[in-house]
Amino acid sequence: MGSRCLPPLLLVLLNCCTSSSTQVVATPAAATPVVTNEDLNFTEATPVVTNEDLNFTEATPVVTNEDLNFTEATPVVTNEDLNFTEATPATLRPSWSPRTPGTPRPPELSGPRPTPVTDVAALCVCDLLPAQCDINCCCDPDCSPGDFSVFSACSIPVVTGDRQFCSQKAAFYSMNLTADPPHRDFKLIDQINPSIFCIHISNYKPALSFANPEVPDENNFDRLMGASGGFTLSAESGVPSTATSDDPQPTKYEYGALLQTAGESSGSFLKLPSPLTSSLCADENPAAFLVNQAFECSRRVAIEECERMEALSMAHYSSPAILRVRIIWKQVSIKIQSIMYRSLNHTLTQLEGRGILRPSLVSTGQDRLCSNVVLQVKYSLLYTASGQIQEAGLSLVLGTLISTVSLLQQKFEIHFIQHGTKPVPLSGNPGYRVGLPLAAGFQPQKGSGIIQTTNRQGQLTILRSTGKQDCLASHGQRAPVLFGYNVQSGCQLRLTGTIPCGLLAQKMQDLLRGQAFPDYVAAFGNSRAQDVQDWVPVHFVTHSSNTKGSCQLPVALGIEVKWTKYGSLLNPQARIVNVTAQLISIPEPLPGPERTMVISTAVTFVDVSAPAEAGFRAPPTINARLPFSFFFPFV
Amino acid sequence: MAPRDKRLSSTPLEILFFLNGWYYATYFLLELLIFLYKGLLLPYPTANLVLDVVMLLLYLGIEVIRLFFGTKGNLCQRKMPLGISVALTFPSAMMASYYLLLQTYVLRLEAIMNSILLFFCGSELLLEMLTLATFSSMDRI
Repeated sequence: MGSRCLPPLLLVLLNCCTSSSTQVVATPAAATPVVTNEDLNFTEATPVVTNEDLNFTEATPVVTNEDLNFTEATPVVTNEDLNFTEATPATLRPSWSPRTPGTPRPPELSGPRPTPVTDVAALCVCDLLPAQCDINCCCDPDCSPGDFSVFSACSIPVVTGDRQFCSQKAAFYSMNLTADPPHRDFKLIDQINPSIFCIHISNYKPALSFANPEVPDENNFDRLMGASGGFTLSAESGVPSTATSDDPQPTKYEYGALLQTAGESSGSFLKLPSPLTSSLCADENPAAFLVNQAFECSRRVAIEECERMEALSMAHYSSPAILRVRIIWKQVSIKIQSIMYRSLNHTLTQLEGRGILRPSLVSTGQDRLCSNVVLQVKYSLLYTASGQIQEAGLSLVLGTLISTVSLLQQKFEIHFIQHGTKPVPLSGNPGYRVGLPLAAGFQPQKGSGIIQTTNRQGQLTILRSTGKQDCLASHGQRAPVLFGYNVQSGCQLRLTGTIPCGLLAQKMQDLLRGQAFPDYVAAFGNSRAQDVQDWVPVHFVTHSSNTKGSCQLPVALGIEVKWTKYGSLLNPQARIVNVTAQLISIPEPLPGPERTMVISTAVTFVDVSAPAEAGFRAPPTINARLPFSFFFPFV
Repeated sequence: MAPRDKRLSSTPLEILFFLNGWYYATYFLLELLIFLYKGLLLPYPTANLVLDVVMLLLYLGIEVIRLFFGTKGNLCQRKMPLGISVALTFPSAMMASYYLLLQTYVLRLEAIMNSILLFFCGSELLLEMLTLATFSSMDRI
């Protein structure tokens, strides 16, 4: 009690001795430590936290506080009393007991987190200086009526709660400048929100404030560590992903892999020149495994440099050695299989020698010629099923370049043939192509596959016409039936003496039909022999005259092939649907000294495709019908 | 059961049922929109929002059944359907009270609408009791 009586006495002395200026100057120096102590006590007791939380129950005491501020002559004493009542006893006792009148400043206390201020009457956001009066801050509790008299306006005129509520407390501050001396006006009223979407009742208390963070200590550390265990697990899960998996590098060639050659660097490939953006040759195009390609491009050639250009040299295409498999150093040299020579008048001659020929420049009068220039290159690579290259073959076409030509056209091809297989050419894929021979064969017994001859041109044949028109002179030579080509051929047969009619008829039939007339014709160009359903049987009919008893001589064979377009309209495929062969016979003519008979064969292709019809479907209609009592009981 | 020459149906009760039917349809749609508004603009916990919407759907079912049986009982002059409607008026009033006082956020618009619904419940309850008394007295005579 003695220590608390000292500050009021000093303040009372200050108020009484207002007339003496010298004493007023001397007294504040002596009172400063006491004011400092009060500042510390005040800031610890009621810290200011900006928060719009509403707390209706705490409104009344603060109003009383303000009323006391107005009526009391010694506001500092009143504040001290209120601070004593509001502060926690546990907090207050340690701060007061070690304090002595001579101690300048006690150590700061580390207490719990300050409680937020939610009362609008006590909330003052412009109170920035502790224990001092902020200028124009009308809600600052540190200001005295003397300070209010020098204010020109209020920096914060109103402090309200959450505006979303239908009714909230509002503290209004204003300056009454007409009074003498000017003083502050303070009103605490209930403000009404007229909106119909205001919150009438709120049953969710945490919605009005931020969550209070939990301070870790020895009691809750394990629980907090367990709650944030995901961080540790996520950091730990990154370790296995950094481990490198050892996937072996494939050594065999795969589809699309570049063909490597044994060059100076490991990045050398077999080159296949191709046109890039124009028709000029780009020499850096690598060849890929199992990718059959064919290119045709042009090359600028100066006749003087033909001997030095590598692209015209035969050695340029035969010297690389292809690696058998990737990365492993086993080579396959390119063997020259055939060399054709095209002369200036476009005749092709096969050269027998296998040596390397170099381009040579010769002069012939006005013109200069460069011979042994490469015109066509064709690679044939034999590969195994395990992705190795077994052999590499090269076929070349050489030619002669004259000085009047500045652009040389070259062709480049590459094909892949699997080891152990033999390529069989097809007449189409899948439909027939015009100009290719029909595929035909026999079915020896029911249930077995079709047997074909390996001679592609001899499966379905007709009589071949010759210049002399002698049937027996060119016996055995026959022409293949090509898809889409209507063909008619014939010959003459001279009969002398007396030949038996039966023997003559048999001979003539053999001439017309050939050695092996097939039973089946393939429906598609790529029909397989074991798929009998994809083959069309040949209907063989014989027409003879009405005369009975006499011998009939066959003189004409007519083959009619009916085909149709199959599949997509954009890419129709030709499919054979019917094959009919008619053998026409006539009676034996009257015997004479010398007779000549004409026999003929004809092939006709008939398109029996049905025309495509364009049309659109009708849009569907929605037939929705609701019952008459659908909206009962409302309607 | 009832004499054929006397009509015992209550016209004010039927008018109230009719108006309540249309009013509840409007109330249901407005409540859905208000829940959308509150879910987007206010800090609404998801569990509370789901609970309030599910209870709104339950309220719809109760109200439809109550109005149906009330209309049927009143027009057909039967005591059993009208009794079922009277029994369902109490859960309906409880639902309206919940939305007036106990949901997470009660807006002023919701307070007004639920007050009107409570007025409908009270009026209909009173008229239903009177109509039931009329039916019972006529049966006895």
